[in-house]
Amino acid sequence: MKRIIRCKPASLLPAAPALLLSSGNAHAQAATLVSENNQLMTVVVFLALFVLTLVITFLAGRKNKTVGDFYTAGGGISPRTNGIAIAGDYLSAAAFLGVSGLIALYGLDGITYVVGFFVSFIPVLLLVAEPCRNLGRYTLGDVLAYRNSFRATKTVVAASSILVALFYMVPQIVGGAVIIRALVGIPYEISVIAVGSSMLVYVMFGGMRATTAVQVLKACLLISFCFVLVVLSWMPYGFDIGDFFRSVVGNEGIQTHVLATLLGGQSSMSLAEAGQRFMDPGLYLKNPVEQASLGLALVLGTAAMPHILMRFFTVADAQGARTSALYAMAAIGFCHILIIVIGFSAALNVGPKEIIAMDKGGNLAAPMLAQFLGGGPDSMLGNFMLALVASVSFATIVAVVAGLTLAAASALAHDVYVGAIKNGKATEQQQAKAARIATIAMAVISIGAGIAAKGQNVAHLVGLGYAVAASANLPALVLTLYWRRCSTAGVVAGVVGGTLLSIGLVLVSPNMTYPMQVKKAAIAAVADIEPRILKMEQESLGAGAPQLGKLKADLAAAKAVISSVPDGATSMVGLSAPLISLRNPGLISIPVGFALVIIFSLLMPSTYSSSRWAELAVRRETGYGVAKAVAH
Amino acid sequence: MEAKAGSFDELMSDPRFRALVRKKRSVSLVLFGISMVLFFSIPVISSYFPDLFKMRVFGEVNAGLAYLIFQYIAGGFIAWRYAVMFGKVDKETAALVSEFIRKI
Repeated sequence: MKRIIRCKPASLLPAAPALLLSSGNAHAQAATLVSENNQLMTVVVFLALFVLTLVITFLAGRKNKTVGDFYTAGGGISPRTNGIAIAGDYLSAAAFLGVSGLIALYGLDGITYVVGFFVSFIPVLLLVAEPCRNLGRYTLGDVLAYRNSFRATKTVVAASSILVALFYMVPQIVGGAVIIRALVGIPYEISVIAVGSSMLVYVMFGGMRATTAVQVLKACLLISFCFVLVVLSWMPYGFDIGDFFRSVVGNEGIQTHVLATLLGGQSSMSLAEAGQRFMDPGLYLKNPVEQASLGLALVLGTAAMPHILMRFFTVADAQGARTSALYAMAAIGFCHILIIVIGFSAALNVGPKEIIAMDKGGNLAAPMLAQFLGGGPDSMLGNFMLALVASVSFATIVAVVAGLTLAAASALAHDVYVGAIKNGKATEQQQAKAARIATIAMAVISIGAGIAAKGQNVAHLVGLGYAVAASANLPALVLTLYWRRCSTAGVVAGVVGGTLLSIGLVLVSPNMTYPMQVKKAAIAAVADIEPRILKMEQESLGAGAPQLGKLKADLAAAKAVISSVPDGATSMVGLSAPLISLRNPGLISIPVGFALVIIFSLLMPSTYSSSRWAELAVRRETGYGVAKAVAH
Repeated sequence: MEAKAGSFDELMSDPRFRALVRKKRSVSLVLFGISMVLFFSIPVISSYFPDLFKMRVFGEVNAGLAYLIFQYIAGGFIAWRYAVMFGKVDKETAALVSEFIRKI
């Protein structure tokens, strides 16, 4: 049986295949959003930001003396700074570029999508932030190993943490590189290497202090820039929100986009009704089960994301962790509200048609709006705004990737090397060396994976990262923290089973490419296009008709697909069609993850786990012993 | 001073500690439940009762947009409520731990 490797567009958003930034499209674009004349200015702004972050790294790096400084800045980060850094860690390019584009193209459904990223911080605050700070030191593995077998727990949790970080990191790098290429024309590979190298410098030489500083800088820049865009968007309407939305609904470009593109020209709606339809649900998210599955993974997965949990070890105590989460929610929520306005403003001021012309997925909506509000492509201010947005996007990607790298490197060095291999008996020098080697290893892996993923569909990896975190890490974490009978066997079974099930379900889901389905669609397209071409040529419309060229190109592409897919070709795992209809496996894998921990804990109880329960429960609630145990 | 394993059992069986844990859990679970009901009502309403979201609230702004923005307000309220409640419990916890440390 022949197998074919997938080759679909890349994306910034999980489970959003219809919307994705097409890397193929981006590569095909001769022009970039930043014109050749203004590339120097953009590069200068890029470099200024880069130099600033290097200075921060240098200053931060000087303060690092111990391994604790490297991983958690010695627990000395203030809750407010940590909260803003969490926002910087969490507000990815997907939130800024992807969601603003989603709203610009699909209206209300785009907001539905972004709300989950905010709500996901409620479980973080209510269930894990304080207990983790009271029990952990550097990693999720520390918390789980508190009352479970040290080596077994550390090994499995480190593996799942590294996988989650990689699943989340690769799409950030790929999507970011494609965006940077579309903005300023920097080749894909160079962009990936630039992101990877910058992140390596920040993490390697500055550890958590530099990563925090870069994330705070990025969060402040992003929120300030979004704020400026919103002020400029609302200014012409005298900051009257009602008037702004009246203009959105009454905009002819949006009305035509809804009728012709989103409703496929099949609706009998009036233009006015089509404008109002843009504010209604159902233009993008049409499957409630899929929506609930993705929502569940988002909302529960964030609470077990290693790079988010790690940030709570950087403050002095549980109260600091709580305050951090509050600041993070405030910053993330405020930024989301600004992004929502930016999305509608891009639809109104730039127009969905123009946004799609630059990028099918709408990921360039915010940069195009910035250029428009600054005075347009021919104005100095417009291009300066564009240079700023490109630099902020780059900083966004680097900050997120740096946080993920630090989390993955700490899992590798602290949990695997120091924990599983050395059984916790490593000198300070050995630990410091392991941390730096692990950082380099993660940087090399992420750069390699980023380059290898060129032109591949990596969209589902973000959703998969959340699904693994929610299905493997969260059940083990929550039940270790709150269930007396939880045992090592349950934790190991939950983490291994949840991880494998999540990955397995994605491999048999519609996220994969099924060559025979692609071929079938191409055959149908040929059958549809050929008579239309013939009819146009017979009616002598051929030469002058503008559609003819496009139809012929579509026909050639469809024929190429037919000839390139051999009969009997299957997906990566040998399937000719998906086994399940869900794109995100959360709805299945999360309950199974919890069930595995419970069943195996009951079947294989552990005396050690039970004997540590009282101590864990007291320390979880009171923080007693934390200062001494953690030695920050 | 580091506690002995047995003293943790002693504290855990203290009725005041148990009441404190119950109080914290009930606050967390109630707030968690509210947030989940609010969030997962979005796909339910938008898919099965879309007309509810299409109702105009003011001007061109419909109930769907207002409800989605309300999620941020509700999330903020839940976080604030949690912080206030746990802030109060912190004092009780500190008193209990001090007493515990004096004993061991």
